[in-house]
Amino acid sequence: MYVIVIGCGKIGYHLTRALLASGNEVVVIERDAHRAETATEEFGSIVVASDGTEPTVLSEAGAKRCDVLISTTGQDATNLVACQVAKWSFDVARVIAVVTDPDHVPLFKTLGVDVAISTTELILSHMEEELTGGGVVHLLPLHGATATVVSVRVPPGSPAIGQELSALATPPGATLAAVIGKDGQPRTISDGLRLEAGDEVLAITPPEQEGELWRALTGGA
Amino acid sequence: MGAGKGLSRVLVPVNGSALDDDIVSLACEMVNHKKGTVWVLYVIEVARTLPLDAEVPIETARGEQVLQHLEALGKSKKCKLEGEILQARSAGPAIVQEAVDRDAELLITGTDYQEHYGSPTLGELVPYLLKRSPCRVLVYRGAQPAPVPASA
Repeated sequence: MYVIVIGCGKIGYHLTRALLASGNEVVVIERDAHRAETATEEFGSIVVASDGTEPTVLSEAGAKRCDVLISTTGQDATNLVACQVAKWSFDVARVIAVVTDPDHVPLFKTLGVDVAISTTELILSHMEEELTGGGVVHLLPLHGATATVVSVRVPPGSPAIGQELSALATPPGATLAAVIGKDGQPRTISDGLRLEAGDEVLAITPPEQEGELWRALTGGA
Repeated sequence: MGAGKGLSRVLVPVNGSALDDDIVSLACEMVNHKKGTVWVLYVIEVARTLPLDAEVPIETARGEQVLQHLEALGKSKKCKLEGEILQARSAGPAIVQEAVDRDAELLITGTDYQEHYGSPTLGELVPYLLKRSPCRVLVYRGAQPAPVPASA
Protein backbone atom coordinates (compact mmCIF):
# COMPACT_ATOMS: atom_id res chain seq x y z
CA MET A 1 0.00 0.00 0.00
CA TYR A 2 1.28 3.48 -0.85
CA VAL A 3 0.65 5.95 1.97
CA ILE A 4 1.35 9.68 2.09
CA VAL A 5 1.68 11.07 5.61
CA ILE A 6 1.38 14.83 6.06
CA GLY A 7 3.22 16.13 9.10
CA CYS A 8 6.08 14.47 10.95
CA GLY A 9 5.31 15.51 14.49
CA LYS A 10 4.82 12.93 17.21
CA ILE A 11 1.83 11.26 15.55
CA GLY A 12 3.26 11.41 12.03
CA TYR A 13 6.66 10.12 13.15
CA HIS A 14 5.36 7.06 14.98
CA LEU A 15 2.77 6.40 12.30
CA THR A 16 5.47 6.46 9.63
CA ARG A 17 7.63 4.04 11.60
CA ALA A 18 4.71 1.67 12.03
CA LEU A 19 3.69 1.87 8.38
CA LEU A 20 7.24 1.20 7.21
CA ALA A 21 7.61 -1.67 9.66
CA SER A 22 4.53 -3.31 8.20
CA GLY A 23 5.99 -3.13 4.70
CA ASN A 24 4.14 -0.17 3.23
CA GLU A 25 5.58 2.34 0.80
CA VAL A 26 5.48 5.68 2.62
CA VAL A 27 6.25 9.31 1.87
CA VAL A 28 6.21 11.90 4.66
CA ILE A 29 5.71 15.56 3.84
CA GLU A 30 6.87 17.95 6.56
CA ARG A 31 6.81 21.73 6.19
CA ASP A 32 9.20 22.55 9.02
CA ALA A 33 12.75 22.35 7.63
CA HIS A 34 14.40 21.40 10.92
CA ARG A 35 11.86 18.70 11.69
CA ALA A 36 12.14 17.38 8.11
CA GLU A 37 15.92 17.17 8.46
CA THR A 38 15.61 15.24 11.71
CA ALA A 39 13.14 12.87 10.08
CA THR A 40 15.45 12.43 7.08
CA GLU A 41 18.19 11.27 9.46
CA GLU A 42 16.03 8.30 10.34
CA PHE A 43 13.80 7.71 7.34
CA GLY A 44 16.07 8.79 4.45
CA SER A 45 14.73 9.93 1.13
CA ILE A 46 11.08 9.23 1.90
CA VAL A 47 10.89 12.61 3.65
CA VAL A 48 9.88 15.62 1.57
CA ALA A 49 10.54 19.01 3.15
CA SER A 50 7.59 20.93 1.83
CA ASP A 51 3.97 21.98 2.30
CA GLY A 52 1.58 19.04 2.03
CA THR A 53 -1.38 21.25 1.20
CA GLU A 54 0.24 22.37 -2.06
CA PRO A 55 -1.13 20.52 -5.11
CA THR A 56 2.26 20.60 -6.86
CA VAL A 57 3.93 19.01 -3.84
CA LEU A 58 1.28 16.32 -3.60
CA SER A 59 1.55 15.69 -7.32
CA GLU A 60 5.33 15.18 -7.10
CA ALA A 61 4.80 12.94 -4.09
CA GLY A 62 2.74 10.66 -6.31
CA ALA A 63 -0.70 11.44 -4.85
CA LYS A 64 -2.34 10.10 -8.01
CA ARG A 65 -1.19 6.57 -7.27
CA CYS A 66 -1.48 6.74 -3.49
CA ASP A 67 -3.94 4.48 -1.66
CA VAL A 68 -4.26 6.46 1.56
CA LEU A 69 -3.35 9.98 2.63
CA ILE A 70 -3.16 10.66 6.36
CA SER A 71 -2.84 14.23 7.57
CA THR A 72 -1.47 14.39 11.09
CA THR A 73 -0.47 18.01 11.67
CA GLY A 74 -1.59 19.82 14.80
CA GLN A 75 -3.65 22.24 12.71
CA ASP A 76 -7.18 21.14 11.84
CA ALA A 77 -7.34 23.62 8.95
CA THR A 78 -4.14 22.22 7.43
CA ASN A 79 -5.37 18.66 7.78
CA LEU A 80 -8.68 19.54 6.16
CA VAL A 81 -7.06 21.30 3.20
CA ALA A 82 -4.53 18.49 2.66
CA CYS A 83 -7.31 15.91 2.66
CA GLN A 84 -9.53 17.95 0.37
CA VAL A 85 -6.77 18.58 -2.17
CA ALA A 86 -5.88 14.87 -2.11
CA LYS A 87 -9.49 13.79 -2.46
CA TRP A 88 -10.72 16.19 -5.11
CA SER A 89 -7.58 16.95 -7.12
CA PHE A 90 -5.93 13.54 -7.06
CA ASP A 91 -8.82 11.19 -6.43
CA VAL A 92 -7.09 9.54 -3.47
CA ALA A 93 -9.22 6.55 -2.46
CA ARG A 94 -9.08 7.17 1.28
CA VAL A 95 -8.14 10.30 3.20
CA ILE A 96 -7.77 10.33 6.95
CA ALA A 97 -7.34 13.38 9.17
CA VAL A 98 -6.36 13.87 12.75
CA VAL A 99 -8.72 16.42 14.31
CA THR A 100 -7.90 18.34 17.45
CA ASP A 101 -11.22 20.08 18.04
CA PRO A 102 -14.01 17.44 18.27
CA ASP A 103 -16.54 20.05 17.06
CA HIS A 104 -14.78 19.93 13.68
CA VAL A 105 -15.43 16.22 13.10
CA PRO A 106 -18.86 16.64 11.45
CA LEU A 107 -17.45 19.36 9.19
CA PHE A 108 -14.60 17.10 8.07
CA LYS A 109 -17.05 14.33 7.26
CA THR A 110 -19.38 16.68 5.39
CA LEU A 111 -16.46 17.88 3.31
CA GLY A 112 -15.49 14.38 2.21
CA VAL A 113 -12.81 13.31 4.69
CA ASP A 114 -13.30 9.55 4.97
CA VAL A 115 -12.10 9.20 8.53
CA ALA A 116 -11.72 12.07 11.01
CA ILE A 117 -9.97 10.92 14.15
CA SER A 118 -10.51 13.24 17.08
CA THR A 119 -7.63 12.82 19.48
CA THR A 120 -9.65 14.62 22.15
CA GLU A 121 -12.59 12.24 21.74
CA LEU A 122 -10.30 9.23 21.90
CA ILE A 123 -8.79 10.40 25.18
CA LEU A 124 -12.21 11.28 26.56
CA SER A 125 -13.69 7.91 25.69
CA HIS A 126 -10.83 6.10 27.41
CA MET A 127 -11.13 8.38 30.43
CA GLU A 128 -14.86 7.67 30.59
CA GLU A 129 -14.19 3.98 30.58
CA GLU A 130 -11.54 4.20 33.26
CA LEU A 131 -13.47 6.59 35.48
CA THR A 132 -16.94 5.07 35.22
CA GLY A 133 -15.80 1.45 35.10
CA GLY A 134 -17.41 0.75 31.78
CA GLY A 135 -19.51 2.56 29.26
CA VAL A 136 -19.54 2.18 25.52
CA VAL A 137 -16.04 3.05 24.36
CA HIS A 138 -15.82 4.28 20.77
CA LEU A 139 -12.82 2.70 19.13
CA LEU A 140 -13.20 3.48 15.46
CA PRO A 141 -15.80 5.25 13.32
CA LEU A 142 -16.40 3.31 10.11
CA HIS A 143 -16.76 4.75 6.62
CA GLY A 144 -19.72 7.15 6.34
CA ALA A 145 -20.31 6.97 10.11
CA THR A 146 -23.17 4.50 9.67
CA ALA A 147 -21.54 2.21 12.22
CA THR A 148 -18.83 2.40 14.84
CA VAL A 149 -16.52 -0.15 16.37
CA VAL A 150 -17.18 -0.03 20.11
CA SER A 151 -16.05 -1.85 23.19
CA VAL A 152 -18.18 -2.78 26.23
CA ARG A 153 -16.79 -4.42 29.37
CA VAL A 154 -19.08 -6.98 31.04
CA PRO A 155 -19.33 -5.91 34.71
CA PRO A 156 -19.69 -8.30 37.68
CA GLY A 157 -23.37 -8.98 38.27
CA SER A 158 -24.35 -8.51 34.66
CA PRO A 159 -27.21 -10.81 33.57
CA ALA A 160 -25.15 -11.54 30.44
CA ILE A 161 -22.61 -13.53 32.49
CA GLY A 162 -22.85 -17.24 31.79
CA GLN A 163 -25.19 -16.71 28.89
CA GLU A 164 -24.45 -17.94 25.40
CA LEU A 165 -23.91 -15.13 22.89
CA SER A 166 -26.83 -16.37 20.79
CA ALA A 167 -29.12 -15.91 23.80
CA LEU A 168 -28.22 -12.28 24.38
CA ALA A 169 -30.81 -9.65 23.46
CA THR A 170 -28.40 -7.61 21.36
CA PRO A 171 -29.96 -5.11 18.94
CA PRO A 172 -30.49 -6.35 15.37
CA GLY A 173 -28.05 -3.87 13.82
CA ALA A 174 -25.17 -4.77 16.13
CA THR A 175 -22.56 -7.40 15.28
CA LEU A 176 -20.37 -8.89 17.98
CA ALA A 177 -16.87 -9.03 16.52
CA ALA A 178 -14.62 -10.31 19.28
CA VAL A 179 -14.42 -11.08 22.98
CA ILE A 180 -11.24 -10.30 24.90
CA GLY A 181 -10.99 -12.19 28.17
CA LYS A 182 -9.85 -10.71 31.49
CA ASP A 183 -6.43 -12.18 30.79
CA GLY A 184 -6.20 -10.14 27.60
CA GLN A 185 -6.53 -13.20 25.35
CA PRO A 186 -9.05 -13.04 22.50
CA ARG A 187 -11.71 -15.74 22.57
CA THR A 188 -13.19 -17.14 19.39
CA ILE A 189 -16.68 -15.83 18.68
CA SER A 190 -19.30 -18.56 18.43
CA ASP A 191 -22.97 -18.82 19.34
CA GLY A 192 -22.07 -21.12 22.22
CA LEU A 193 -19.47 -18.81 23.75
CA ARG A 194 -20.45 -17.81 27.29
CA LEU A 195 -19.49 -14.42 28.66
CA GLU A 196 -17.61 -13.97 31.90
CA ALA A 197 -17.31 -10.99 34.22
CA GLY A 198 -14.54 -8.69 33.00
CA ASP A 199 -14.78 -9.78 29.36
CA GLU A 200 -14.42 -6.97 26.88
CA VAL A 201 -16.83 -7.29 23.96
CA LEU A 202 -15.93 -5.60 20.69
CA ALA A 203 -18.91 -4.88 18.46
CA ILE A 204 -19.86 -3.00 15.32
CA THR A 205 -23.04 -1.05 15.86
CA PRO A 206 -25.01 1.92 14.53
CA PRO A 207 -24.82 4.83 17.01
CA GLU A 208 -28.55 4.71 17.78
CA GLN A 209 -28.32 1.12 19.00
CA GLU A 210 -25.35 1.61 21.32
CA GLY A 211 -27.59 2.04 24.39
CA GLU A 212 -29.47 -1.18 23.68
CA LEU A 213 -26.21 -3.07 23.14
CA TRP A 214 -24.79 -1.70 26.39
CA ARG A 215 -27.91 -2.78 28.33
CA ALA A 216 -27.77 -6.27 26.81
CA LEU A 217 -24.18 -6.73 27.93
CA THR A 218 -24.25 -4.96 31.28
CA GLY A 219 -27.86 -5.22 32.37
CA GLY A 220 -27.97 -1.44 32.49
CA ALA A 221 -26.04 -1.32 35.73
CA MET B 1 45.91 2.66 4.23
CA GLY B 2 47.21 5.23 1.76
CA ALA B 3 45.92 5.40 -1.78
CA GLY B 4 49.54 5.48 -2.94
CA LYS B 5 49.86 1.76 -2.13
CA GLY B 6 46.81 1.03 -4.22
CA LEU B 7 43.24 0.26 -3.35
CA SER B 8 41.11 -2.84 -3.67
CA ARG B 9 37.55 -1.51 -3.70
CA VAL B 10 36.60 1.74 -5.38
CA LEU B 11 33.06 2.86 -6.09
CA VAL B 12 32.41 5.26 -8.95
CA PRO B 13 28.94 6.69 -9.43
CA VAL B 14 28.41 7.82 -13.02
CA ASN B 15 25.67 9.61 -14.88
CA GLY B 16 26.70 9.62 -18.50
CA SER B 17 28.55 12.93 -18.29
CA ALA B 18 31.81 13.80 -19.99
CA LEU B 19 33.64 13.25 -16.69
CA ASP B 20 32.77 9.56 -16.48
CA ASP B 21 35.75 8.44 -18.56
CA ASP B 22 38.16 10.48 -16.45
CA ILE B 23 36.98 9.20 -13.08
CA VAL B 24 36.71 5.59 -14.18
CA SER B 25 40.22 5.75 -15.68
CA LEU B 26 41.50 7.23 -12.43
CA ALA B 27 39.79 4.52 -10.40
CA CYS B 28 41.27 1.82 -12.65
CA GLU B 29 44.76 3.18 -12.12
CA MET B 30 44.19 3.17 -8.36
CA VAL B 31 43.08 -0.46 -8.14
CA ASN B 32 45.39 -1.98 -10.74
CA HIS B 33 48.33 -2.19 -8.33
CA LYS B 34 46.39 -4.53 -6.09
CA LYS B 35 44.28 -6.05 -8.85
CA GLY B 36 41.26 -4.66 -7.07
CA THR B 37 37.76 -3.93 -8.33
CA VAL B 38 36.07 -0.80 -9.57
CA TRP B 39 32.31 -0.77 -9.15
CA VAL B 40 30.60 1.61 -11.51
CA LEU B 41 27.14 2.62 -10.37
CA TYR B 42 24.50 4.24 -12.54
CA VAL B 43 21.52 5.42 -10.48
CA ILE B 44 18.16 6.02 -12.10
CA GLU B 45 16.17 8.44 -9.97
CA VAL B 46 12.53 7.35 -10.17
CA ALA B 47 9.94 10.07 -9.55
CA ARG B 48 7.46 9.37 -6.76
CA THR B 49 4.68 9.47 -9.31
CA LEU B 50 5.88 5.96 -10.22
CA PRO B 51 6.51 2.91 -8.04
CA LEU B 52 10.19 2.45 -7.28
CA ASP B 53 10.35 -0.75 -9.31
CA ALA B 54 8.50 0.73 -12.29
CA GLU B 55 9.90 -0.09 -15.69
CA VAL B 56 11.73 2.92 -17.10
CA PRO B 57 13.00 1.58 -20.42
CA ILE B 58 14.47 4.80 -21.80
CA GLU B 59 16.52 5.52 -18.67
CA THR B 60 17.52 1.86 -18.37
CA ALA B 61 18.70 1.74 -21.97
CA ARG B 62 20.70 4.92 -21.40
CA GLY B 63 22.27 3.44 -18.27
CA GLU B 64 23.17 0.22 -20.07
CA GLN B 65 24.77 2.21 -22.86
CA VAL B 66 26.85 4.21 -20.36
CA LEU B 67 27.94 1.07 -18.51
CA GLN B 68 28.82 -0.79 -21.72
CA HIS B 69 31.07 2.05 -22.73
CA LEU B 70 32.76 2.20 -19.32
CA GLU B 71 33.18 -1.56 -19.13
CA ALA B 72 34.99 -1.40 -22.46
CA LEU B 73 37.14 1.37 -21.06
CA GLY B 74 37.96 -0.74 -17.99
CA LYS B 75 38.85 -3.69 -20.20
CA SER B 76 41.22 -1.54 -22.24
CA LYS B 77 42.95 -0.60 -18.97
CA LYS B 78 43.09 -4.26 -17.87
CA CYS B 79 40.99 -3.39 -14.86
CA LYS B 80 38.39 -5.53 -13.11
CA LEU B 81 35.29 -3.41 -13.45
CA GLU B 82 31.70 -4.26 -12.56
CA GLY B 83 28.77 -2.10 -13.63
CA GLU B 84 25.40 -1.87 -11.93
CA ILE B 85 22.18 0.03 -12.53
CA LEU B 86 20.07 0.93 -9.51
CA GLN B 87 16.63 2.50 -9.28
CA ALA B 88 16.20 4.85 -6.32
CA ARG B 89 14.24 7.89 -5.29
CA SER B 90 17.39 9.84 -4.75
CA ALA B 91 20.94 9.14 -5.92
CA GLY B 92 22.74 10.19 -2.72
CA PRO B 93 21.36 7.60 -0.30
CA ALA B 94 21.60 4.88 -2.99
CA ILE B 95 25.29 5.59 -3.56
CA VAL B 96 26.04 5.69 0.16
CA GLN B 97 24.20 2.41 0.70
CA GLU B 98 26.18 0.84 -2.12
CA ALA B 99 29.42 2.07 -0.54
CA VAL B 100 28.35 0.43 2.72
CA ASP B 101 27.28 -2.82 1.04
CA ARG B 102 30.49 -3.04 -1.00
CA ASP B 103 32.69 -1.97 1.90
CA ALA B 104 34.25 0.52 -0.51
CA GLU B 105 37.57 2.08 0.42
CA LEU B 106 37.11 5.10 -1.82
CA LEU B 107 34.29 6.79 -3.66
CA ILE B 108 35.17 8.95 -6.66
CA THR B 109 32.60 11.42 -7.90
CA GLY B 110 32.82 13.93 -10.69
CA THR B 111 31.44 17.43 -10.75
CA ASP B 112 31.46 20.36 -13.11
CA TYR B 113 32.22 23.85 -11.86
CA GLN B 114 28.90 25.54 -11.23
CA GLU B 115 27.91 28.89 -9.86
CA HIS B 116 24.74 29.85 -8.06
CA TYR B 117 24.07 33.57 -7.77
CA GLY B 118 27.72 34.19 -8.54
CA SER B 119 29.10 31.82 -5.88
CA PRO B 120 30.65 28.41 -6.54
CA THR B 121 28.37 25.51 -5.65
CA LEU B 122 28.71 21.74 -5.65
CA GLY B 123 25.00 21.14 -6.06
CA GLU B 124 23.21 18.66 -3.79
CA LEU B 125 24.80 15.29 -4.49
CA VAL B 126 28.46 16.01 -3.78
CA PRO B 127 27.86 17.63 -0.34
CA TYR B 128 25.57 14.71 0.52
CA LEU B 129 28.29 12.20 -0.34
CA LEU B 130 30.92 14.21 1.53
CA LYS B 131 28.70 14.21 4.59
CA ARG B 132 27.35 10.67 4.48
CA SER B 133 29.88 8.44 2.78
CA PRO B 134 31.36 5.82 5.11
CA CYS B 135 34.62 5.83 3.13
CA ARG B 136 36.97 8.42 1.72
CA VAL B 137 35.57 10.61 -1.08
CA LEU B 138 37.48 12.04 -3.97
CA VAL B 139 35.74 14.86 -5.85
CA TYR B 140 37.02 15.31 -9.39
CA ARG B 141 36.32 18.55 -11.17
CA GLY B 142 36.58 18.60 -14.96
CA ALA B 143 38.77 21.01 -16.86
CA GLN B 144 37.38 24.50 -17.34
CA PRO B 145 36.48 25.46 -20.89
CA ALA B 146 38.90 27.92 -22.39
CA PRO B 147 37.87 31.50 -21.55
CA VAL B 148 36.22 33.41 -24.33
CA PRO B 149 38.52 36.28 -25.34
CA ALA B 150 37.02 39.67 -24.59
CA SER B 151 36.02 41.49 -27.74
CA ALA B 152 37.82 44.71 -28.48
